[in-house]
Amino acid sequence: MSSATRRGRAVTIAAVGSVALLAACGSSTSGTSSSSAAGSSSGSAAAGALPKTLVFSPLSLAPPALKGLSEGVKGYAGSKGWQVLVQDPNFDATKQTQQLNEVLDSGRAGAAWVIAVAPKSMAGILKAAQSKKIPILVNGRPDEYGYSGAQPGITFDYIDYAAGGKALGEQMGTCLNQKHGGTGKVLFGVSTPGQAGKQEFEAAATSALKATAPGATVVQSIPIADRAKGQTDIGNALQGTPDLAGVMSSTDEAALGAIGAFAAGGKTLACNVDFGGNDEVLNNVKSGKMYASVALQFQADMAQSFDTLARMQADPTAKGQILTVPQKVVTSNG
Amino acid sequence: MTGTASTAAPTRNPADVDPAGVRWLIFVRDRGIFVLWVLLLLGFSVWANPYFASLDNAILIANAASLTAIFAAGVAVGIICGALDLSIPGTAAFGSCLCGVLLTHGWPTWTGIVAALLVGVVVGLVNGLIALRGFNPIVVTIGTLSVLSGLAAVIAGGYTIPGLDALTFMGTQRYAGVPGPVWIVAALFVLGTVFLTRTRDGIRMMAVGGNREAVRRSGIHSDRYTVLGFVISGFCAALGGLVTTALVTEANPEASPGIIFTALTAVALAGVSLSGGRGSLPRVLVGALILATISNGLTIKGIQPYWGTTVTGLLLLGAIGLEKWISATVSRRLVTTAQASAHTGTR
Repeated sequence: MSSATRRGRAVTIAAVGSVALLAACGSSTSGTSSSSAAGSSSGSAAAGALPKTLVFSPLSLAPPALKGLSEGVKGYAGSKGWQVLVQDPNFDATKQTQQLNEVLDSGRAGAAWVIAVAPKSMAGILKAAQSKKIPILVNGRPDEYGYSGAQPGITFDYIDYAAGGKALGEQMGTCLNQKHGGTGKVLFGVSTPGQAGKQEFEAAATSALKATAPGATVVQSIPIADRAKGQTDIGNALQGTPDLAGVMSSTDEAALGAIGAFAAGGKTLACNVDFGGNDEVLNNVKSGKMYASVALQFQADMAQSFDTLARMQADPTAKGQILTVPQKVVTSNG
Repeated sequence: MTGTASTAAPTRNPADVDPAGVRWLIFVRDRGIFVLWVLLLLGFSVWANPYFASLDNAILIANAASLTAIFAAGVAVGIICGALDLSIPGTAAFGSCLCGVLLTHGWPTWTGIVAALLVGVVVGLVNGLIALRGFNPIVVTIGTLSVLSGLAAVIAGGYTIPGLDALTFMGTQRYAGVPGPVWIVAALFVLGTVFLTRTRDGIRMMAVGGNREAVRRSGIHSDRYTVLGFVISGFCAALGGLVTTALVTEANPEASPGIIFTALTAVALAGVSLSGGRGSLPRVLVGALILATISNGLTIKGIQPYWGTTVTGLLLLGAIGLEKWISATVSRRLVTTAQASAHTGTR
């Protein structure tokens, strides 16, 4: 997997940080990379003799969003009496499989949650987990891992990019209809090449925009990886297209960069919508600086992911589920 | 010697004058980047008319080049004195997070800024002192990068530190219509250029990068100039981190390696010799401006930004190819001239 893809996955869950932290705040975990829930040691499950220990293996702990997610998982699982072992493969697929192999072989793992650096490299891990009857949840669609559907002992959890793109396009169209007579030039702040779901997301967004506000035109698509560069690039685009009516973005960074760029240019952005929904973006929506955000509900996803794994312990040979990360359109009205 | 000879006006032997071709080649090598930038400006002015050639857009380009220029100055000074500092992203991240933590804990703004800049100086000092022990500077600075990235995440708790509005005076705020970062870059490059070209220490520092042993044998304490190079590099890294934070009002503990690659591109475009001893800060500034100009012009025209990256890469390859060819050609021609002079006795 390319670094762009890895980063893409990290960016995709960038909204999780503070949301997950809220979950962590309510817990009694120590805050270290491996923590114990109060009153729980190895905590063997009575039925399947699987310990109540969740192995959480994200891409890396370096990105704040993933660090936040790990804290959130520790907080939530800890509140349910589980111990959480957090691993840090540091974007290294080989390291991730080695770490997972070790912990699966050790007998400490009662369930595993993996955000895979390279899904294809997980084949051995998934088979090992199945043979040891350890329920496992992986982020992504079954086909990314070489499967065509749900598998025994494996749950897949993915972001429905097509649905997210459609919601984004619809919100931009609705905003233009309300504020700009259904017409106007739109800049699309897209994710960088190689990111998961990029193509389907962008196609869904542009077609939904066309359907909702046929008079709108996407005049430019700019890949935006970080906020500072986004601010610069959107400022440049604004120079060439001074009558931009809207910016719709695949990431929070692009939306926040757009706010900075328009402020620096002394202009007002009529419609700013994005996909992600971190705290800063949601505050901007609330204050009216942004029209809407298609917010990924990572706290809800974290809960459904953990609860699914906990349920799978009862029968690790049963087919797992195919989950999607919940999405919610947030506007200034709520 | 006759009286006639002593009163005659001194005349230069034609053989003592460099051939016009050689002078032209040296001009292209040393000033070619300025010509390239002017050509780019002219080209985009016509192609992206009427949006490109305006004062507003000039300010936009200057502002966009600011961050690259600050980091590139650090990289360039390091390279000029013979040491590539790869810890720059870590220093930037740690400095900005330290400033962010101090500001969010109610410390005055100036304290946060001074603390961040001091971090840069100390990191440079540590890098330099370790490198002087005979360790490879690249490996040393990779180690420091790792340490600082980790420390940045530790002090920030692994999260970004938002809401640093107290720093906007050096980020988005304008003075006489020009954004703060542009003024900072102007000051940095004026001071840096004066230091490198007009002060004894600056000239010695460049000499250390060119031939450390020769400098040492001439009785100059070369080690202190190596450390000084690292210190300046660290200072620039911390300053770049602060300006980045000021622009987005958020400190990010993640050390972005992209900083180094963009800065290195500007430095290489500027013809700074990677073996040290040769380089010029104004050219580095123009290198950063070229990158910003290409990105700006293509974005205004609605060209996919991927082409900007491609064009920049091609320019870089062209620049190093041209530099190599010119250096080889100049050497060959000068040797030929010298041999001809020796055989004919004209020199």
